[in-house]
Amino acid sequence: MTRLTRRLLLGALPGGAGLAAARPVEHALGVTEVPGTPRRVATLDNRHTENLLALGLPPVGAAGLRRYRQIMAGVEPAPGPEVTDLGQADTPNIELLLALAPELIIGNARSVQRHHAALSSIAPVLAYDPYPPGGANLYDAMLVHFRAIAEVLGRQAEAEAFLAALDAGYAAGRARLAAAGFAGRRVVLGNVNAGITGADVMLFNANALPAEILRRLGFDYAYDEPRHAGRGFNVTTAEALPALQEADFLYLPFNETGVRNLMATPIWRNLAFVREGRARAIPYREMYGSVLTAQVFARQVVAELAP
Amino acid sequence: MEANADRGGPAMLLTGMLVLALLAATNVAHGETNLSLAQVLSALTRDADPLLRDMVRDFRLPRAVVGLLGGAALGVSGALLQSVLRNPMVSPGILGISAGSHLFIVLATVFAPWLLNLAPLPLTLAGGWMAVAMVWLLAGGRRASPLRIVLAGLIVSMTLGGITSAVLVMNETEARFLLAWSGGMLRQNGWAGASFAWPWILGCLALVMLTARQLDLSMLGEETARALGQRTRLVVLACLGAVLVLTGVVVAVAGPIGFVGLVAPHLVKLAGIRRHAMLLPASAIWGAALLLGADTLTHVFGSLTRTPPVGAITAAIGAPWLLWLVLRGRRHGAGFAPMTPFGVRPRPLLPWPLTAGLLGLGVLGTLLLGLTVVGGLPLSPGTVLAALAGEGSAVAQRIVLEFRLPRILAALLAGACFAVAGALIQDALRNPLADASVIGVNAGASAGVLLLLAAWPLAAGPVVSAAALAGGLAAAAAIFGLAWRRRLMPAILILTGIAVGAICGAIVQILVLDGRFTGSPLVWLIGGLHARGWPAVQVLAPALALLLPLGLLLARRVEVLAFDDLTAGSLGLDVGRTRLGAGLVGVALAAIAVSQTGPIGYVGLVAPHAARLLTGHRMRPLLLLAGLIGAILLGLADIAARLVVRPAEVPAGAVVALIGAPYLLYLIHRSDRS
Repeated sequence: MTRLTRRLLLGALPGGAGLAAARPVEHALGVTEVPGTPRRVATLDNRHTENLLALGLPPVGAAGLRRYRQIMAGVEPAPGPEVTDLGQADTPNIELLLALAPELIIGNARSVQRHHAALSSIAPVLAYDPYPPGGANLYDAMLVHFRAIAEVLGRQAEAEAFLAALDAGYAAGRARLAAAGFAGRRVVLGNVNAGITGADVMLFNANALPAEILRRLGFDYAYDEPRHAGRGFNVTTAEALPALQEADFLYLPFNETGVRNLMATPIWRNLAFVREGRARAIPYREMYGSVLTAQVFARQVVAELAP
Repeated sequence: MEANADRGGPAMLLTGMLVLALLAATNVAHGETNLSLAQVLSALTRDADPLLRDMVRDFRLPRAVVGLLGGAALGVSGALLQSVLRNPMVSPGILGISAGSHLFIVLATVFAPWLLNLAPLPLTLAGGWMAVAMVWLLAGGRRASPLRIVLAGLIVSMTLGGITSAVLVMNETEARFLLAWSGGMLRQNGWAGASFAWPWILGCLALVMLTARQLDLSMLGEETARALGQRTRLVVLACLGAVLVLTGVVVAVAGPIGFVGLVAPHLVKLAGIRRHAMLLPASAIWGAALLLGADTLTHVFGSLTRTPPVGAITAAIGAPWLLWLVLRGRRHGAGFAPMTPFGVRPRPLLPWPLTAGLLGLGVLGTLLLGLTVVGGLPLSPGTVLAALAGEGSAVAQRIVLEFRLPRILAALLAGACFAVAGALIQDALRNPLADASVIGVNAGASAGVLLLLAAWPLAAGPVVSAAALAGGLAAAAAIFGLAWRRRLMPAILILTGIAVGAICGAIVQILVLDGRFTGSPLVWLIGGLHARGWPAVQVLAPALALLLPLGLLLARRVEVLAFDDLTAGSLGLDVGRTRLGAGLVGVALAAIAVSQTGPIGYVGLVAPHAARLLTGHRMRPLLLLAGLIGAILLGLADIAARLVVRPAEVPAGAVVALIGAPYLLYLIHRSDRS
């Protein structure tokens, strides 16, 4: 089908942006013409579902929504019942997507790439790579994507307001943490999982999302290995911890068994941060998110360390 | 003869122990931080630095001990299986025991984590037992030939591995962590794993040493053994039981690790050792050395970049070994003779054009079903018909014409491609358990895609398809190229395919593990038709239109291949060329289909068998009927894949495996009786 007939069809759909002036938007998979200011947006990655909720424009449909509702339970703003579940993030339901008549589709470049053509025949597609090449700071990448989406949706003011509130939250948290004696403390964050043969410890690298958040809360982040910067973490065992024992250890318990397994290792008991009571659990949260994850993670760290 | 044969025994044991000691020392020194040998030794002294001491005593030593025990268990398991089944090509990995154990662990982790912590061994045992039972049935029970056992094991491994992947795809968060273990790894967090494993492993090793004498006797042949008062049945059962326990324990503490059980006994036999009293301990020692060596290699890589799974390293070492064994082996005589136990109906039930017509109606029905019942939006049959005629709402027209129609057409076409390819390959290789997926095309395609994405994570869809095609064809070219020197003998070709497939599998394992948190690499391991549109149809339709007639053209000559190679040659047939031609047409069809759908197995295995039961052995009708059946099979599987978890969908490849496995067992059972 030619571009023109597609436009005409889209124009015939409810809420279609029709033939409004289009402008080019650059993203991970190239440059896409986005007509007008889209109002009906579908998201194919929970990161962008977060972004849209933070901008005050809930998506009309979201792939991965079931999972989103589980892992972001209790986080405001939450997606309402009017948001359509589009199935799994890797295999969004194309027919439901078409029936929603979105004006824009936003997704993760690494899964959108597989069905880019089908998606583009439904609406303009913007795709972002949450792991830009070269081991860049993933928090900065998140901000760039958030602002780019806000601009396409004409919501720059809302974006800046949200980011200002986020920074204010960091500042307030930093003050409370400083009062509790955490200012400038060296810290490492790990995700602890049961593993099959003993605990897996996933250490977040200095360029990861939560590492930057901890820095903004006034910590000094202690784990920076260039060879793990590409993805922002290293999955290892307690064997990696002795080198980091002078820092404080914060951990996210992926499951209870993982923590039990970790604490059962003799090496754990002899680590300085354990003997000196500087190992602290933070309620588990998935770190494959965006600005809402950042906000709620910062709050949880402060609530846990400086209640 | 026996006295002579084992002269190399003590030397082999001694060198083995020496190598093992060296490897163990190197292994202990490597890890997240590398230590010098002096540091390792100082850690064992009394006044060692406490952290160094803990690291060596609680991480490195248990890891080395698990490697030692696990390698010994796998080496002995391989030796036992090879003796008991009188088959040089088997090992716990090849028989699917590891895959079965792994599936059960994954199921437990996702659905009942408490069970896993309570009792891992019964789980891995149940999985291994299930796999062995399936292999036994598929291979035809007591009359199973060695090659057929290998193929049955491979099919079972693929099925169970596919189901494992599907479970992981549907449960992504858990999968990210579980994946690390699916490639096998020795790392331990203390002595828990080792202290769980050692009584079982040492107990089983002691038990099988008691049967060494009986095993020697049974190698003389069943009748001689029985005449000597030997209770063959009992020995076989005891050994199989020991193998299941040994493998189950290893999977529970270190994950599925292939090829150690294959290679270790062969190394020992190369030194001329035949008597089991020597063969078993030597296999244990060399198995341990292999596994520890492979694990040490992973840490050498790891300190540079990241640690690959130890199972991938053992496969990368073991698969070339298998190749060498296959291509150099002189003794494929009786055991690897060609076989033709196809179940064939002497007189077709109906004249084949009538059957074809009926199946054609089935294809049409599947097409209509695909247009009406599936998808996110319910459309009435009337709406669908109107949309096909170009009437009705724009949304309905787009859904029907742009998405449902091309997707179901792609499923039908790909199914036909897989089936025709399977029929050609089965007849060309004279083997009822061969198809493109078995001889490595699917693994090659997966490796191609993952290599591309590792270099270029954002590659566009058509480029990815091209990489899959290139990978599949490259694997096939390697297989035919390597087997050409042995005149493309069916057994050689199949075993070469298995080895090449294992090398691709090792690449896949490493890359999947590498990308598991940043992308979703698992979706490339199990095929489906999500979002396939007209571009897929535009590739598949011409491929089928071009290659099916070629297959029909070759059909007469392929029929002659049903006789053994000598007879076929005396009838004036160029056996090598015919086999090459039919094989290449089949591989090309399958590789093109895989490039559009991702790796889907079973259609090429099941559809030709079903067709043979309907029409007999004539090749032309067989190709056509198999194509129609394959189309219906994949079409229905894709429809089911979209219905079961709406609005999400499961990979159609998993549905095919779930339907195909029992159906193939049934078909094999029927054809063995007829």
